[in-house]
Parts: sequence; C-alpha cells; structure tokens
Amino acid sequence: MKRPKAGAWVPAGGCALVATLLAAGAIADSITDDELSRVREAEAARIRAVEKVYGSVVAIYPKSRRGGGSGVVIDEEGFLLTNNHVMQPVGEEGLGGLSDGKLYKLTLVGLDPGGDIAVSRLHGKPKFDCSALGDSDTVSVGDWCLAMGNPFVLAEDQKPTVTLGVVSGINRYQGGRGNIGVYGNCLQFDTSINPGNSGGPLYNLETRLVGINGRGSFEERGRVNVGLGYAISINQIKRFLPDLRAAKVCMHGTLDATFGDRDGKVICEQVNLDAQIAKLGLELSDRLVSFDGHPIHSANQFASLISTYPAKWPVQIAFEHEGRVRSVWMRLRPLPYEVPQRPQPTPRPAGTRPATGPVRLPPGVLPTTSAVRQTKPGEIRDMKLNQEECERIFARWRGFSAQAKALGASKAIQTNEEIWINGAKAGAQRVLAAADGRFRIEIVQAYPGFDAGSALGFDGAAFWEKPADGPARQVRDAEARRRSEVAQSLCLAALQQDHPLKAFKEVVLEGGDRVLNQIAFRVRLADQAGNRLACWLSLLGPDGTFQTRLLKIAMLDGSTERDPMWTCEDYRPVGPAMVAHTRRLVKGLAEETQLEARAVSCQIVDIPANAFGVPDAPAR
Amino acid sequence: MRPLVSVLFFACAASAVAATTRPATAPARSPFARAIAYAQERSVKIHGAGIALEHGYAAGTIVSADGLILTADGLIINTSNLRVTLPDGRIVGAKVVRRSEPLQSALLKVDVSTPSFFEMPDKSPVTKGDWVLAINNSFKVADGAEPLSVNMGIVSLVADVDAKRKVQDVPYDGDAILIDAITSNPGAPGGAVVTADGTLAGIVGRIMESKATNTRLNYAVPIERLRPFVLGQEMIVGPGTPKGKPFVGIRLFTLGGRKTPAYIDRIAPGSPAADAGLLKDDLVLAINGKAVRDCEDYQELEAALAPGAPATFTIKRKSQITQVKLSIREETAHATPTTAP
Repeated sequence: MKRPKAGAWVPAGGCALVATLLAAGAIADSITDDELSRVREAEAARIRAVEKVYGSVVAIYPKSRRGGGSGVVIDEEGFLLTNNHVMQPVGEEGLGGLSDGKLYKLTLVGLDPGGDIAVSRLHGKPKFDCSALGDSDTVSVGDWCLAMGNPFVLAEDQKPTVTLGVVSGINRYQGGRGNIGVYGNCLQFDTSINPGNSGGPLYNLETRLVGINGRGSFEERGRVNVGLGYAISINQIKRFLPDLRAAKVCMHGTLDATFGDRDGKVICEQVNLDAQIAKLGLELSDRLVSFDGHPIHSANQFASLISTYPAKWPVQIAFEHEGRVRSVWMRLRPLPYEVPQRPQPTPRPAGTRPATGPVRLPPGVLPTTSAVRQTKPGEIRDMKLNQEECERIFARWRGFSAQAKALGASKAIQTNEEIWINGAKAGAQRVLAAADGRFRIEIVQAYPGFDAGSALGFDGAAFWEKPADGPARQVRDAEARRRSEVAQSLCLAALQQDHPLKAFKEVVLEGGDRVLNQIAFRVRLADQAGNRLACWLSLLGPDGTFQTRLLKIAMLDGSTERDPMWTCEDYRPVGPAMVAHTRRLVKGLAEETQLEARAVSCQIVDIPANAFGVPDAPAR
Repeated sequence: MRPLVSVLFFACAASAVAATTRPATAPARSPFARAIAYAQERSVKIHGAGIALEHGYAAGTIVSADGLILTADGLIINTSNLRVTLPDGRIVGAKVVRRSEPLQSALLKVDVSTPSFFEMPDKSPVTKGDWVLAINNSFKVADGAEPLSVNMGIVSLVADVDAKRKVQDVPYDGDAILIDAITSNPGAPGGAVVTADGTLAGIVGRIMESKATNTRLNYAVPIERLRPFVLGQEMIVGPGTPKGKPFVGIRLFTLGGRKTPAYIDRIAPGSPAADAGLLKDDLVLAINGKAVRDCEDYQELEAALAPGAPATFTIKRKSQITQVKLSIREETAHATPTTAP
C-alpha cells in the first residue's frame, strides 16, 4: 500500500497553501519570500472573509441579561437563526448585540424544538448585515470551518469570537430527549465551541453559512470544548425556514413506520395500519430502497435522514415488496413531540460555577424552564407575524415581476402560446392579460377540450365564453372560477395588487413545501366568493440564494390528484416586467405534466378597444 | 520526511497558481482530504470491556496486511469478547497479541486480511510545529461503517513523559508527541495520528489526567517506539518473555517530589543487591560509570539495566567509596499476565 503522494494533491485555495507549507515542516529554514507572501495573502483572504460576515453575528440575551447565546442574521430585515434552546429561556422578547456594540430589540418568530432551531428578528435598523447561506452537502471531512459567537458571554463590546478548525465528521446523529433536540445528519467539527456559542454560525472558509452550532460532547469534563462540536446543517434548516418564518412551531416528519437492519437490508419492522405509507402498499418485512432520492443502506442512516425533514414534506419513497420495487409519493406525517417523563438535571462536575454564566442547559435539549408562550406543535404562534410575512413575500414577488408597474391601466401582456401534450405540439392559443385581472384567451389551433376559434374572457365584471360556431354567452361567476385557467389568471392579477391581502378573503402562510424541486412557501388563499386556492412562492433560487418567484397556483389546496395546478416557470424579461414563459398543468405530488403551454412570443401592448368585452357586443 | 519537502514545495507552487484562477465562490477543498481518506481506510473501531469511567470503546490502527492492529492498553481489552469494526463495517473478533506497560499500548490481531494498512516508519515523521490529524472515535460518534472522526492540530512538543511522578494514573513512560488537537476523550485512544500526507506518526495515547490540575494531556505514542513493539523487538512484560524489567532489590530513601540523594532505605532479601552485600544507608554514586545525582537518576539508570547482565554500582558507605558488581535478574513479581497469541 502506497501513501498518497503529496505532489498528487488537488491544488486548492490559499489555505491549502498554508497547510502544505506548514506540513512540510520546513517553514523556518527554506521558505522563500514569494511563498511567504502567498501565505500572507491567504491569511489576508481569510481575514477579509471574516470581516464580511462579522456584522451579522448576534449575541443573544434575555431581557434580564443573565446568560445568553448566539445567532446569525440571514436577511437584511433582521431575521436571524439561532437555537431553540437559546430562545426558550429568552422568551418572546430579548436583546441582540451586534459588532457595532449596540443592543437591538429581538423578538421570537418561529421555533423548531425537534431540530433545535429558532428564527427571531432584530428591530431598530432599516437594513442589517447578513450572512449568505451555503450548501452543507458540499462540506467534507477535513474542510476548514469557522465558528463565531459569544462563548461564555464574554463579549462586553458585543463583538463575536472567531474560532477555526476542521470538519471532523459529516452525517452524524446525536439523539435528543425524545423527539426534541435531535441532531440528524449534522456536522461534527473540532473548532472550539463553548457554552454561549449555541445558535451561532458555522462557516466554510468563504464564510458561507453551513450550519448552526448547537451542542458539543460535554459529557466528562464539564461544559467546555472537548474538540467535538455539532452543527445543525443549513440544508436541513432551509427546509424548515418557511415554517419558521410563518411563525409556526415546527414539527418533523415521519413515515409512521420503523425499519431495522437485516442481512444488509433495511427492513420494515413496524408500520401503523392506518399510515399513508401502508395505504400505498408498504408491508412488514418490505425493504426500503430509497428515500427522497437517497439510497438507504442502514436503518441508522434512514433514522438520521428522516429526522431532518419537516412534517407534510412531499417525498418519493421506493420500497421492495415481494421482489418488485415500487416508487410512491407521499407527504410525511407529523411526528408528535413526546413529553419526557422525568427531566434529568445535567450532572455538573465539581468546581464549576452555577447559573450566573451562559444559559445553563442540557446539551442541545429543551430546557425545563421556558419563557416562550406555549403553542400547540404544528400551529401558527402569531397570526400577525404570519400576515406580515405574507405581505413581505408578496411585496418581494411584486418587486421581481414588476407587472403592475409596467402595465398600468392602459397596457396588457399579449402572449402567443403553443400547447404541448405528451411531448407533441397539440394546439395554440393567444392570451391577452391586463394587470387588473381582465383577460381574453383565443384558441388558435384546437387541442383536446378546446375548439379552434373559441374564446374565453373576463371584462372586469363578468365572464364570457364564445364557442367556435356560435355566439358568445355570459358565464356564471362561480362556474368560471372553477376553471383552472380562470382561477390562475385571477390569482396572478390579485398578487400584483398593492395590497393583495385585501384582494382575498383569507390569506394564510401555511409554511414550507417543495415545488418544482425548490423550497417554497405555501400560501392558502380564499377569494371574496369563498373559492379556495393555494399558491407557492420560492424561498430560495436554484443557486441557494433567497429568491421569491411564484412557482405554482392550485385550485382548492392541490392536495388531491383532482386539484389542477398550474406551474410558472422560465421567467424572462418582457419590457420592464418578468413573465413566466412556460406554464404546466400538473397533477399530484410528483407534479406530472398534463399539458404544457410554451410562450413563443410575449410582448406588452396597448389594450385595444373592447379587448376584454364580450365579442359581437357593442363596445362599452 | 525530509526527501518529501521538495515535492511539497512543488505542490505549493501549483496550488498557488490554481488559487488565483479559481472562482471565489468555489469551496476550498481540504488540503488534508487525501490524508484523511487514506487514514480512515486504515483505522478501526474497537469494542470491549468497560466499567464506570473506563469506557468500553476505543479506536485502532491497522499496521499489517494480516490483521495486526495497534490500540491503547487498558481495561477495554481485558475481555474474551473483544470486537473490531473494520472500515467497511464488518465486525470481527480480535485477540490480544501483546501489551506494553511503558507504551500503554496493545497489539491485537484479527483473523481476516487487512490489505489496507499503515507502513510504520522507523524514524519519527514529525517535529515541533507540524500539522497532525488524529483519527478517533471520541464519544462513540461513529458507528458501523461510518467513518471515524478527525481532529486536527499541530505537534506542540516531543517530550519525555515520566511514569514515576505519582501525578498521573497511567504509567506511560518515555517520549510522547504532545499535540494541540483535543484527543483526550473516551474513544480516541488507539486512533492513528498521521501527518498531512498520511504518514503514521503514532497512535493517540491513553487518557492521562493530572490529579493536581484536573487537566488532560493530548499526546500520541510515537511510531518509532511502537514499531519495535509491533515487530516483537521490544522489551515485553510477561511470563516467558525473553526480557523483562530489571530486578535489583534496592528501595531508596525518597522524599516526595524533592531531588534527594540516592540513599538506600531497604534491601530486598535474596535480591541481587543483597547478594552483592549492599546495605541500608549506602549512597549510590554511579551505575555502570554514569553519575547518580539523585533518586530520579537512579530510577532511570536502573530501568535501563539489562536483566541477566552484570552491572557495576559505585557506592559510598560512611567515607569509603567502593565499586560493587551485581548480577541483575528479571523482575517477576509484578509481571502483568498476557494472553499469548
């Protein structure tokens, strides 16, 4: 067996250079000026990276200023990530210190007791420094990682402490108390973290946020760094972020089935008969093949993986039943939080100081005392915060699409669309849509259900329909709104209004979901007539940065196969506005395409006279 | 390691060029990635006996193709049910080949072939300031086929750890590589400590805690001391082994902690010292011509004596200085039993 040759290393960034030089053990005797300058350059790059995010690290205190933890701002509006176990003693309102030395008011938004995460918000500045989210799936063992925070609550000037180390392990599992404070697929690192670091950020060398530090192996020698820290991976947190920002108490998902290892296979050992997965065909001793695209090779791996998914999350599961592999889609069921029978106090080694220091908690688990207003798990803690978040999401969406501003009252978007079914062109139509909801659809080439020459429209007050061979007729309101094209069109227009919440009878940010393989907010709507709708807006773009795009609109709530849903994809600029150039009619959790409408041309035009009124009727 | 330096510098130059052309957003790959992967492939998890603060798990380092595994000595291996989890997740039984008290290490053997193993350099590959990676299973974080944890640090010092000062509970004796990675955790002892290019520098030493300060030493047992032990060339404690501890039969008059002259307090009856006519209150001045300034010097020189060979003691009795020849025997009374292979 040969050792790996040093010369065969894949060259990496500046830090690799430092390490290589030092590893050679020859720094003192034979380093050249050139090499030294490169080492200094790498060091300077690291310092710059730290400076970039230094202002986003928060020292969190309860109002009493006794104890505290850390956090990190991820949004200019002051939303920050921290641990549930930091916010529990802080409660609904606390203080957040930033590196400018000032303390800001901090309020609690959402909690995830299962994953030990909380979202809070800082107030008092129009714009806060924030850290960019990274991708924790790209982290590998041996990578450098930086931790920042407020260990031992020692920063009198609120400036965070920075520590550097390496990632010691990935996909680790650290059990909690019952289902509370479970660290599944977490990152293990040897960067020093100590009590008070809880809730603080773990960065890679580019200071992209890869995790939230929450616990260490503080088992033997009191609550100090022992070279083993654990961070909740940012990719897990991303899935919970919509729920957290919706001011919910998050719940984690379960299959209502347990699995064990047998002969190198992962076998179903228990399954609730009324579980969704049982209805989909899973039986005892069936083999679990994959979960959400991850091949499953051990029961532990699966337990660790599923603990990082929120309740109601849509997943594809493959299992082998009597020799045949079946692939099914389902939403995970909520895993109830068991109440621990007897909370055990953490053993405190002799000689350590009691409670005046940092918040004193069992490592990473729910504290016995909580200052947080109690809410049932899975429910929205504060409807006002929820509505505010809806406003913000819609405002960001309006800012991106800019249609209302581009069109005003006198212009409309005219789109020529091709209709594709099963990969073949089936028809064509022309759509004219104004910002206020008026629209007209003319069928240019027939496709199933629509004859060439027929048309459908809404003049702002009434719906009409014109068959290819007959005169136009008015359509009853309720009947029209049941058609998915109509519902979609009206929903799109309503979201463009300055106050979309007023355009609907009910708007509720229900939480997170996955749509078009993107993490999204799910918003439940009811229009003035009481018709139920749902729409999905993205939280993150495909590149992992915050990005609000309207992704999908559904009749009812899209939960059954019967509920038609229209996707909005392929956004392209049309004048100053952004317009989706591909719309797909999809069904079910798998989002199977029924029909696809592709824009071949799209432009902003002046609204012609009587464009939306009933054809044949005299212009009003 | 010296011949590698030039190669490493070449690698440096290459990496610097790459660094400038690399997009700023690409995550920097760890320069240790290869060494870590190499070391993890050659490290095992060990499960054995445990009670109270003696944890029943440790790490191990594969040092031969036929299943020889180095690990730390301790209660953990005192069991007939010693199990080793190989890097691929297979669990196999292991037997103790031999154990060493001064190294606080044990050599195990599993009856499967281990084609991936560490070469053992006969010279230390590390010096003060070098990066080292400690492969470990602290707190049993990794299970089954999961890769072991990696902690990183630098060599702080190569220092002599003295077993005789009664401040530590582990009688480790001799040179140790002190590192600044925290390795004094349950589950870490026995894990490989490697250089940045994956060369084995030693194994994580048994947890050693100072009774005076409640602090723990993070150290590795150096490979150049382990190598003869693995090859069977080292002094081995146990019955039937060719070389044991030397037995002289002298107890000195010592005052704890102070540097006291080596006055004899007691002579064991029938011992080599008694046979040579040494008496209580004699002062030992030199052993084999090497000066004995105090009790500490005496302990060191005595430990270095070879059983079966004669030794010359220079002593002062009243005002007379005389030389006495002793035939040193092997100590048997405190020998630790070993499980023979």
